[in-house]
Amino acid sequence: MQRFIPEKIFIEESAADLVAAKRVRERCSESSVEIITSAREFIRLSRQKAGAEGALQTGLLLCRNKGRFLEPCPGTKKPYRCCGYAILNSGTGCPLHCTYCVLQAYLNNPFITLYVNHEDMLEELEHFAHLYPDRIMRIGTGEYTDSLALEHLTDFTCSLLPFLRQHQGIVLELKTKTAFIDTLLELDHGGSVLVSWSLNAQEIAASEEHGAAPVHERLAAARSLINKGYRVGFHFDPLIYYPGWQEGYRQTVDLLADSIPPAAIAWISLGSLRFMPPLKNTSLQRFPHTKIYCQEFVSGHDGKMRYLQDIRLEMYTALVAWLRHYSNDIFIYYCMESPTVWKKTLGFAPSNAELQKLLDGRVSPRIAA
Amino acid sequence: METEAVSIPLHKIEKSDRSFIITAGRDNRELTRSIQQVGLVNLPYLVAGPSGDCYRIVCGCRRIQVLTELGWKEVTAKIFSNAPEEKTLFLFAFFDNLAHRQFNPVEKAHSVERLLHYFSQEEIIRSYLPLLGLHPTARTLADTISLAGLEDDIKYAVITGALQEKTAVRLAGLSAEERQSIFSLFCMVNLSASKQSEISEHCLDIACRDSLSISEILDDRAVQDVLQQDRMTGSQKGEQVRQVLRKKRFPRLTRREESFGTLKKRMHLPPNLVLSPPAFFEGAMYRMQISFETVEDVQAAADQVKKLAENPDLKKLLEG
Repeated sequence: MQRFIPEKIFIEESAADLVAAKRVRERCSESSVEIITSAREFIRLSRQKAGAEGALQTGLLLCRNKGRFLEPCPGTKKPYRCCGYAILNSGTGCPLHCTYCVLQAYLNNPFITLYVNHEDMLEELEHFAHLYPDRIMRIGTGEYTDSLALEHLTDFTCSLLPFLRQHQGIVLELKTKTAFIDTLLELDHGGSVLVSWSLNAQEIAASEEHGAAPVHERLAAARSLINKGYRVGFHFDPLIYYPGWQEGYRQTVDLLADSIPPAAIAWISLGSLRFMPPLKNTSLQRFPHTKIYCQEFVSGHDGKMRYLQDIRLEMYTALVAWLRHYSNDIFIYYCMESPTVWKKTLGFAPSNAELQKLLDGRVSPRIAA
Repeated sequence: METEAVSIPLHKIEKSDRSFIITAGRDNRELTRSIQQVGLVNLPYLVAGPSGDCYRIVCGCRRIQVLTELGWKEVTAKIFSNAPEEKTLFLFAFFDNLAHRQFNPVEKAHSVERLLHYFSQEEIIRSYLPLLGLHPTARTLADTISLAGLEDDIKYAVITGALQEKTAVRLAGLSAEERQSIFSLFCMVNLSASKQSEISEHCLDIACRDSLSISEILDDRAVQDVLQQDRMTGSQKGEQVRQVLRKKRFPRLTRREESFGTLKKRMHLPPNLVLSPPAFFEGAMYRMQISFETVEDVQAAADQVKKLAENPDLKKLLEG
């Protein structure tokens, strides 16, 4: 898979002299550069020109994050369970162009955007760590972008390491569908970084995750990092129901079992495709040939479209059985699932607080594999 | 722009030239009556054609049409003196129309389609969509243009309200053959706008899932059986077709609903006890509603509920 190099970089005037912005410019020496006065105004005008929906831009926007860097994962409403994850806003938008990506309908900003005021981010993190010195926290950069798809431009993880080394309670989860791990291989991470891959059936990865690495490359990358002492995680999310899903997902679980020692896995999450209703049209305009939206979706208690519960139960039951066959010791959890699903497939239904505690327990104390 | 009032033979006016015409689907009866009563009050605007011996209509196509139908041989019209640019003439027609009436969706689409000859998309979004009462977004522009490309019968249905604009936009994304298949169905049954939209959505999803054409879906025996019912009204047919398509679109959900219905029927609940499943069978929380007027009603309902708790069908129902 190709690494993302923008054709053009737009830099907000007030961010142009920041270290991270200069680094990106150096690494994209072929890209043209335009200095803009205000990122906010630039985004507004670009949306008006190209249309808010479906017109994701190929340019890269470098600007300051004027809001908070650290925020709780928006998760979803009750009764669906959420894990108490925290998001570290390193940027928004992603060059992988997955058909199902919620960002298509969620973001107002059509540009892949990196927040380059890392000094402010570190200050905010320090402040938070000072306020809650004993708190265990799982923070991640994979909510509004792919955690590693732009790492080759930013060295973002590297710039966070001094902070992470000082704060034992904080673990950074990098969620990715890439195999871009070269910047991580030589890092002295001290167990503070956990890398996780989104996994899917290989047919789905090929047809719906256009810019992502093939599944076997993701697993090979995981294997390489395990050899360097990293713990890893996997997210079978979104599970897609399609004719032949059993065979497809079974093969991926088999590939996982063949490549990764269970002891190196901090967790595996499961989640089926879910989306706010407007995503369907937005996605179909960009990807008219995708078939993922024509299965039996119904409106959930949180307003998101989900597969009929019977279908989800069928898929989860199969996945859990295959994963348990691979190893009984793997910690499996659901992302945004109902207590009914938890009980029927895993035999218990934790509250949000209990789930958070369970997952925190998987990373504390920090354990290198 | 200078104009001169000149008497022009009607046969010298190119009625098929619609370069500046915005009007679509308007009823001419009022105008005909007016011309019959008081003659032509407002003169049409024409511009000399390239050859010089015929004229193109800038404003007043309906007036020209009515006069022709009424058998007039000539009309006094205002002729632009120095041939202005097409863009100027179109804007003249556009603002003239805009000043005295609300455009219907097809007229808006025709206007935007024509404006694209003269302005950038950005300019149209910013300056012209708001004038037409439309949201200034690229999506609205694309939707509006898509209406202009539809067949005349579909456009007419949009103007009369027989077809919802949103549904028409959706149909515009289909091939002409697929579009006509769905549109023909809508002509045979009576459906509200939201149900038209629902049926279109179901057809598209089924077509995508099962790799079928829309015609194949609608030619299905179950749909055709409904359409051929002589004793049903258009609304009844519409509702039945909707149910048939819903069942095809959501086979597992409808099976679940049917199974719930069967078990509930077997429980023989009294009319004052209403048992409802979770919405879309999401989660496991069933609801029971008791209606009562007296304490005795409550006692009787409680006895029924007790009995129901021992009914094996309830257990079966809750186990899914």
